[in-house]
Amino acid sequence: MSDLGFPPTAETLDGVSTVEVRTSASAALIPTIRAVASDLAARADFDLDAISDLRMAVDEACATLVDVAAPKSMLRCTFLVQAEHIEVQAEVLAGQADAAVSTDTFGWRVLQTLADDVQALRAPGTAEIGPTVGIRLHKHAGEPSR
Amino acid sequence: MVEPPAIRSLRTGDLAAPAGPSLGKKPEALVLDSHPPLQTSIARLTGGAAVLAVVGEIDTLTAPPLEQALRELLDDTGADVLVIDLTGVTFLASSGLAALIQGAHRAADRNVTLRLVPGSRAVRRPLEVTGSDQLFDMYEDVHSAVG
Amino acid sequence: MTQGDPEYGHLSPLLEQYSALAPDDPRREALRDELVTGFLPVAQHIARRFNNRGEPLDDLVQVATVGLINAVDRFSPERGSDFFSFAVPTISGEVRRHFRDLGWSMRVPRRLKDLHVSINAAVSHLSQDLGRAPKPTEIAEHLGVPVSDVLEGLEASEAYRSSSLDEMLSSEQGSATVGELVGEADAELDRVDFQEALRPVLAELPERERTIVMLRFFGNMTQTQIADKVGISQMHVSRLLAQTLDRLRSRLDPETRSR
Repeated sequence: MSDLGFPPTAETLDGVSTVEVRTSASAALIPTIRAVASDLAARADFDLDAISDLRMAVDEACATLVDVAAPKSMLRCTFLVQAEHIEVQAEVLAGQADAAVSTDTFGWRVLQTLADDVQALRAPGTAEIGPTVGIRLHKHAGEPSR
Repeated sequence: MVEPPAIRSLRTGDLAAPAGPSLGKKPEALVLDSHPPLQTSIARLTGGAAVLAVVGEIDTLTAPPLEQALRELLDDTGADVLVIDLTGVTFLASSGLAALIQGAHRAADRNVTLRLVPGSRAVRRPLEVTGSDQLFDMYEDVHSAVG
Repeated sequence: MTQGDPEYGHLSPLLEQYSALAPDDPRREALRDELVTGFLPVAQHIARRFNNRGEPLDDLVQVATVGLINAVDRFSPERGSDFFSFAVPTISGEVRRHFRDLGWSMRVPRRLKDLHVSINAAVSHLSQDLGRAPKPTEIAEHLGVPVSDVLEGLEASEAYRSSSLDEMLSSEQGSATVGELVGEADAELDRVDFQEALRPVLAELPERERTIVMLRFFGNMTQTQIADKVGISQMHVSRLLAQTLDRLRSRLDPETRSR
């Protein structure tokens, strides 16, 4: 599939663990990706609320993308785990030429609430294959103590 | 100690298989399906309360049965008090949240405030962080919710 | 509970003070400890009521204490209810949840069950102290266990749970599931006119069984109260009731059944 240019930033190779999960683009497999998100956030010592938020945000991103994915295609979800911060990028090959991630939905608003930063991504397709659409989000480990 | 209410009637909804994915796509037969069905049951207690108990993960595949169960709960016009017991829920996605919010609005149309027992952080947190907890009367446990 | 209450009256002004303190007030911790210690007999009393189910009393007391801590933290005197009417359901709710969780962890090693209880207690305590949700390392340090144990415990608690409705109903009825409890006889007996339809059938029962049924449905007693009165265990009452209801159901005149 067409690459959305992940990892995006220059400092990504220092002290960063990368985990990539690919599944069939099916809602029935999203629980597995949620479990990976929870696991990584817990190991990165996120506070329990931040873990819960990330798990829900990753679910939302994956569910949104699975909805527009081409039949029999794959969902790719990459986690960049840093000390106080996880960046997640999920992408699929879209089924329709004009497919895009809709940002005026309830789900997107929830995503914006849960994540510290979220963007919709799109790479145009070619004559043979459709566009690649994705969602990138950032989540910090939690609030500081009182 | 308060006598626990006896059940007068009970209906359960068990999905044999989760609802298919979005329009236009045939549900695929998967060898690995990490997605168990959502269990819902509605019980009418002798004290006058109706309790919808939900067990499982609520996401895009299982939000439709939740919506259905909420409709049934709201259809019980004879109940004094409507309670949603989510203590068995281990994950709540935005589609589940949307179903709950819609339920709260439908109830408000009839001047009823739904009582919600969130249980774990997985339910509590999304409700708090989106401010949706304001739409319900929240209770710590089912016993106090049925009141 | 009023100030005049001989056992707990002295705590009522402390409750008011506590609920009025700002979240970062340094006096909070000490006051909370004093309140929890002061009300501890209540938690212990509630824990003892659940002592006949094969769980060590120590565990039950620990779980009940978590419930008490939550009750102390969440109680607000302005709401008008007295502390006990808030705390007792909160504490028993916590203990009931413990039994419910045990249901799903039947296949889970004892070690993880213990972890589950400890983690919940730790999270409750730390959330108060930190003013936010704790991190796995903070929970581990508080408990004195490796972080990997906490991670395992957290992962397990994201898995299957049962509904507390199931568990609320099973608490007095032994270990019957909702499905068993709602057996038609039980539901029907609520609707049928006992006096007319059941008198002849009740008369056929052995005296002890008849007494139990009468106490349950006319006297509105709990199984535990019946057990005390009749002089047998609550589990025995539960079994006898179930058997008797089966028998009654098979004898009920079809005309008197609703639906």
